[in-house]
Amino acid sequence: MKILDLTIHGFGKFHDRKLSFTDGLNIIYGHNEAGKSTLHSFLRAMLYGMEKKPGLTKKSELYEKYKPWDNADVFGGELRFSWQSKTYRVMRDFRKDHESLRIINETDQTELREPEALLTDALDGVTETAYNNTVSIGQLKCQTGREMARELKSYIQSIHTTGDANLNAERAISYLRNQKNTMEQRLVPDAARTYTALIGEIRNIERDISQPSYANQLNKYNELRNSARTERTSRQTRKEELLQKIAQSEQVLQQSGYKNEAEISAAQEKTGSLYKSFEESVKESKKAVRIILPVMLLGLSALSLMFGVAAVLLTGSSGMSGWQTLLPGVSAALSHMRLPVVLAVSLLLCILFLAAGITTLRQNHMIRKRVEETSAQAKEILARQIGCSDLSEDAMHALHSHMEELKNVYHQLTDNRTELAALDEELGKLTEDERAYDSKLQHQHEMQTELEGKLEHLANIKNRAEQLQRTLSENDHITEELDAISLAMETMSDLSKSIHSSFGHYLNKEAGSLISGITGGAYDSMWIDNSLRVYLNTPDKLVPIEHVSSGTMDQIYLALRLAASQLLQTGSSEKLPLIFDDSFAMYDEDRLRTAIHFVMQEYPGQILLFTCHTREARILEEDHTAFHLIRL
Amino acid sequence: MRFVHTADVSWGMTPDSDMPWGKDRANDIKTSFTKIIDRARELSADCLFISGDLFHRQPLTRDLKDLNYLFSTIPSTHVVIIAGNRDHIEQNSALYSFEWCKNVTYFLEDQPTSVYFDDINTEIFGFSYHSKEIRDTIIDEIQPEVSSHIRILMAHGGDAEHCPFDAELLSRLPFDYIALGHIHKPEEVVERKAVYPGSPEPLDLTETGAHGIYTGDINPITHRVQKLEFEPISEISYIPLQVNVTKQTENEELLKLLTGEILKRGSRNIYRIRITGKHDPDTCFDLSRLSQQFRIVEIADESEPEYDFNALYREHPTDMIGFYIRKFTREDGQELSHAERQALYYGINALLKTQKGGEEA
Repeated sequence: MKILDLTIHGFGKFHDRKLSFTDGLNIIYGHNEAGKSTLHSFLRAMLYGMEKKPGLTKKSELYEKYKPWDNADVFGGELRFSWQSKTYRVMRDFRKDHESLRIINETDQTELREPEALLTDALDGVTETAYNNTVSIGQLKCQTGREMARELKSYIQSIHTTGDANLNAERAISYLRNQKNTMEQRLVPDAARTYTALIGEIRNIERDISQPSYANQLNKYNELRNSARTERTSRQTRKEELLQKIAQSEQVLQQSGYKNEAEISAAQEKTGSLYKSFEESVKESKKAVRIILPVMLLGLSALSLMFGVAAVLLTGSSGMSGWQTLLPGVSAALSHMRLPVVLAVSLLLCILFLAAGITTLRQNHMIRKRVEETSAQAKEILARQIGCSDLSEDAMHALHSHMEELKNVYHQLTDNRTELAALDEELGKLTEDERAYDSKLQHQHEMQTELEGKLEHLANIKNRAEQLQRTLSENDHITEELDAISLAMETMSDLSKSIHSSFGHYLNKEAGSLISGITGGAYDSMWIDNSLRVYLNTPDKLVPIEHVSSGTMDQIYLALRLAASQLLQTGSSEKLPLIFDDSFAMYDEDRLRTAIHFVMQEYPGQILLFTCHTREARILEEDHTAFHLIRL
Repeated sequence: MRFVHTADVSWGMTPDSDMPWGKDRANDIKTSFTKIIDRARELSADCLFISGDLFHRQPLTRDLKDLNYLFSTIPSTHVVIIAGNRDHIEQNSALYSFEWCKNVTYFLEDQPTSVYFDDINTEIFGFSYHSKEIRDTIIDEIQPEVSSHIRILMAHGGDAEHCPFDAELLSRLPFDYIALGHIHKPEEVVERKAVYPGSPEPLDLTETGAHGIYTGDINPITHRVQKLEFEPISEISYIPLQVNVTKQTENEELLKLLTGEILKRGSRNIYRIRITGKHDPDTCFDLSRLSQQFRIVEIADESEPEYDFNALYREHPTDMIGFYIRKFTREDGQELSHAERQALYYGINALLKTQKGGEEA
């Protein structure tokens, strides 16, 4: 940027004053109180405005200081500068409540919509602070060596905050931070936690399924149950057999009508005795006596009766004779007897013989009845048992064998029944066993099904864990990269700090040649250590800054400011104008000459030198060096 | 006696399960095993040896049923199986109550037992894993008695935690053929005697090369292995590709090169890509298009940006760039660690991109 001219409408003591500048060196000469610093301040205010900025003098101070004495209504001015081949006119009004900034692009005949932005660009990003510390060079205010050194040091410190953007790692660090954030997005943060959880679950399930309750005993119980079942089936078959046999036996017995052996034996006996009695009776009935006796008795009875009758008759005399012939004996006898006695006896005998005869007849009848009865009973039994109703020895034999057989049947039956009972018991037990094995088997099946479910679940979890492994290793890889980025950021930030604190190293290079030039070779270069102690290099030794003369200190100061402003504007081609505000007041002639020539040589841009001496102009004239003089 | 020998089938596994082709690979494993069964049928093999890790994990009943069905389709082949460390037999295993079809023999014991097949005069010894590891060798204690049989040993393992044995031990054992399992790459450990058939399908990206089965013939009289060959079964391979890039290599160029190589070798195969060399610092390789088109299981970009640090240092002696480079130059001349190198690249990149006059990130 080159300043073309200033027009002060109203600022401090100036009022409608215009000043023009050229390229190269411009000397603005005015004795003290001529307004050099006012002009300087005006220039600064035109470039940076008068708003309060943090750390600087309060606005009110500046405001009050430069408010025009005579006319408070006019407080502002214009500044024309050229930048990047265009000419701009800056117009400012500093009046409170009327502050304004306008910039017109005279080349393109446009007014800028964003004048602040243009100024920032044209000023190449040099802030007001930087401007005060570098481009605009005043005097070292203090005179004592130590104070000057201190001021130098604080100046150095203040440069830190301006710093060359190329030294400033802020942007690079935030670039890295962005990279880091983007990369962190690629992390899967829960992966490790999920993986650990999955592994834990896997262990739990594996522990669970290795419990003995899951052991596969299907075969064992199957076999047990099968053998139980086979046993049961065979016993069942046997039982069926027995039941059949028992049914048969029972039927036989039922048919026979006897319930048990006792009955059979009783029946047998009864039949035996029946038969015996039958035989006896038959025998009895067959006895001749049976027939003879009743006949006889009856005959006797009849005889008796007849006797009686005869007696009666005979006694009835007429008849007697007849009968006397017939029955001489009887008649004789009879005659001896008394008739009623004889009658009674004969009646008695008749009745007796009749009774006896009837009795025997009855007996015979009884016998016959007995025969009939026994025969009937026996026949009935026989008929029932052997189907034949002949009453005979053979039949009786047959009956006997039959009955014996029945007895056998009964024995069989009882045996079978006992066996059946035992079988039933065994069957009961076997059924229970089978049921127990069945339920165990079912339980086993359930466990196996449960197990399969768990195994499937386990497989799923293991799959998920496998899938996660790749994510985990990717995470590891990303973490490595993140660590590298962090290392870069740390290194850069550390470097930043250490560079700032050993600013000297870098300043050395820049300031070194300048110092040598400006002191005419008295000192080679300068060294500032970490604690900001400043040393000057001579070919022999390091001289602490406190030991050099104030003039030299001034020179050093100048060199530093030059170096700093150079560094600030390393990148740009259009340097800002360098402004010297009575900087050489304390210099002696030789030093002054050296310094001015040096500065002109080192600084390619416009130079504005405010001075209240004529020495500078005179020296330049003597050396035939071109410059532009402005008298205030 | 003709046999087919396989192992480490890993039925039920999903390789590369987080990749889109994971399920296809799981199916490939099953298809390959079916192919093996078919092959046994074609060859009229007398035996099919499955030396462990038939399953990827403890099998469920339905897995056993599926396989049993397959085995039932080769009724005239004796299928002999042992369990390996991955599918070791637990107390709760469904194997204990599973009824295989007649031609299948599964060694359930953890102590060596044998089975004799009279029709082929062959005695086969084997045992199964009941736990994840077995630290004893075991196989050196087996004493087969009858030498008039063909004697086969099936064993799974070979490293320190899994029945340790080596080629020397195997060559001393009195068996006519030793059907091994556990190593997933096919290898004839003892010539014509002891073989790792490898898994029929490659199971992860390190398992490059051909995968298949071994088939062989043993002379019934001499008991010698007369014929032993490897037969590839798998149609898919893991193929590593390495590309060296230079400062001139551009992303498109790299993509084209890799696409060409992949198409040349088969687009169904699974690729593992490694980039080495030095690339232009402003070039960023983005191979995501490749991943969308083909099966790329891993892309390792080990290339580094080509910075001429000397030139940079000379250009920027007094600013942050110079200092930064200086900071990473070790005085002892040692190589930087990987992390330090990465930090250097990141830092320089950030500084170059954000310096005045450079591009803003």
